[in-house]
Amino acid sequence: MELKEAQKLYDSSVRIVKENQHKKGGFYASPPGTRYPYIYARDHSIDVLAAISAGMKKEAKKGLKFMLDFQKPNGEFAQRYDTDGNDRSYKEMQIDGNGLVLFALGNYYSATGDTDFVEEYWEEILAAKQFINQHHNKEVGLIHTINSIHEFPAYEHGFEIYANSACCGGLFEVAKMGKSLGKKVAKTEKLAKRVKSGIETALWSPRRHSFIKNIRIKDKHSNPLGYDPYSSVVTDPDGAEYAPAYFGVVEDSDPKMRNTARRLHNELWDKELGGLNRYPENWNRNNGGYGPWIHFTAMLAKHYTRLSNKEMADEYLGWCVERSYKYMLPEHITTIDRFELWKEDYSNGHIMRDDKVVMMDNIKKHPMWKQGLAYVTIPLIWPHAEYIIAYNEYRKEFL
Amino acid sequence: MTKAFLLGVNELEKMLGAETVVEWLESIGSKSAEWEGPGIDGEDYNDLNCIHVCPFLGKLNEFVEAYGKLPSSHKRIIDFANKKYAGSEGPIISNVCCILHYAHWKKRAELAGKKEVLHLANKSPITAEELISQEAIKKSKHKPEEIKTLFKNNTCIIKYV
Repeated sequence: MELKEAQKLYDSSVRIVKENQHKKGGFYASPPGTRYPYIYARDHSIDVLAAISAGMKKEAKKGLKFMLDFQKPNGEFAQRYDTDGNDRSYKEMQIDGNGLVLFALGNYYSATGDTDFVEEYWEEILAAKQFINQHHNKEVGLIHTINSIHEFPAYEHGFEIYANSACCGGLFEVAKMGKSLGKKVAKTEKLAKRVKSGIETALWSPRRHSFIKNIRIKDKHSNPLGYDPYSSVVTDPDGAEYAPAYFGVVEDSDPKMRNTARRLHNELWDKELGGLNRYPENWNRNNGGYGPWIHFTAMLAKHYTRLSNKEMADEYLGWCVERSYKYMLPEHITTIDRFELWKEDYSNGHIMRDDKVVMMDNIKKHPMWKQGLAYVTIPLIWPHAEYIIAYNEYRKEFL
Repeated sequence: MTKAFLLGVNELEKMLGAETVVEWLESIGSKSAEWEGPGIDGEDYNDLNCIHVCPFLGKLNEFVEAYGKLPSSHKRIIDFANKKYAGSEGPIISNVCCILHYAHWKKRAELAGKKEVLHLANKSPITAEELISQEAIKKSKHKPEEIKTLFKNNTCIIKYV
């Protein structure tokens, strides 16, 4: 990996994350005037984690305050907010947002020891935990959701691995903060352990040597689950299957995680472009065409760093550095051929929308188009945040 | 269950009349908005908000297919509501669910600090009839051509003030 370039991308990423925090605390998913000028609970929480990683404690606190102040009355965090904290969701429930906020808060607490802040928001923390608990299914021990990291119910409605790992990680953080503050958190810890056990058994495939994506179930109350109208299992490789280690539910060194990461590399590493695809091509939902994603590649870079595998960490993180354009990172990249194939599928299928037409225009206007590449949504803040986290871990381990 | 709810609306109108059913639907929309909390519904387009697909579209059509036609009770409710809501703010009612849905938007917007929710256009999910409020468009200060263009790909157009 070209270290000077990696450092420049890091510096740029810190600047971009900082610049995209609104004065009221929310981190934009993409800058105002671009494709995602809202505060998405998921992206925002990763930005908070990046701020913690970069030592930007004030920004992290402001970001957490924003989310906790605008929690919904039922304890849920909305899919997305405007800068004033109004719910601007347009998709159904995605419970990983609750797990992510709690996980980020726990990380903030570990980094700062800010007991006053946690005490101040303890009621909101419990409400967020309670919302997760309401979606817990006792039969399988897992948390039910409709959407998760890809906002794609066709593959995520049910007991999905990213949502469960985020919630499990968040619940463990609540238990840790609660114990530190002398609160009664035995039930929270018990719930966290039950979800962990569910992930390690029901979402683990011993024959595939891999975590799996999802147990499709329509209704969280279905009992027994086998008679639910959706009942089936999604076993395809998905970058989200790294989530158990991302959220600290299992160690990166756990053989389950090592084998899962190997499978992800074998099946999702893009042979033409490098970088990690988020899921198989035939899911056909990459706006702008199938191709590797920066933030999934950065997530897995962290895995190899934690295993002290410099060769693989260099390959993953180095790819992110090489694919940046003027030290800015896109959501994902693809080739013109794949872009045209996607365009054909969506146009012929009558599912092309106005906003996607605008997105296509922007892709074609980008200088990389002339080099045969489609850069989709640049900059997106999430990949910068993942890069900050991955680079800091890389630096501590190898430099 | 949604079909059963729509059948229930039919039965309730026969028992209590359109006025009470309209109040009941408004109340459901408003109370459910309190559960959800402050919020702005619809996708942003140049300071307007658009609902791409009516969330009740599928079940409304299934209900009409099962019933054989739109019940006359539903028509009486729609007529009563449109008379009640006549004016620049609206809403425009194309089916009974609009009453509940609009009350839901309005309450969430109110919780978010908005003063008014202008309902500029509504395309019936059952008949595809296009209903436009010229008074609301005038009050919104947007051009009718802009609404016409947006209406091609949306079922409702709203302006939050």
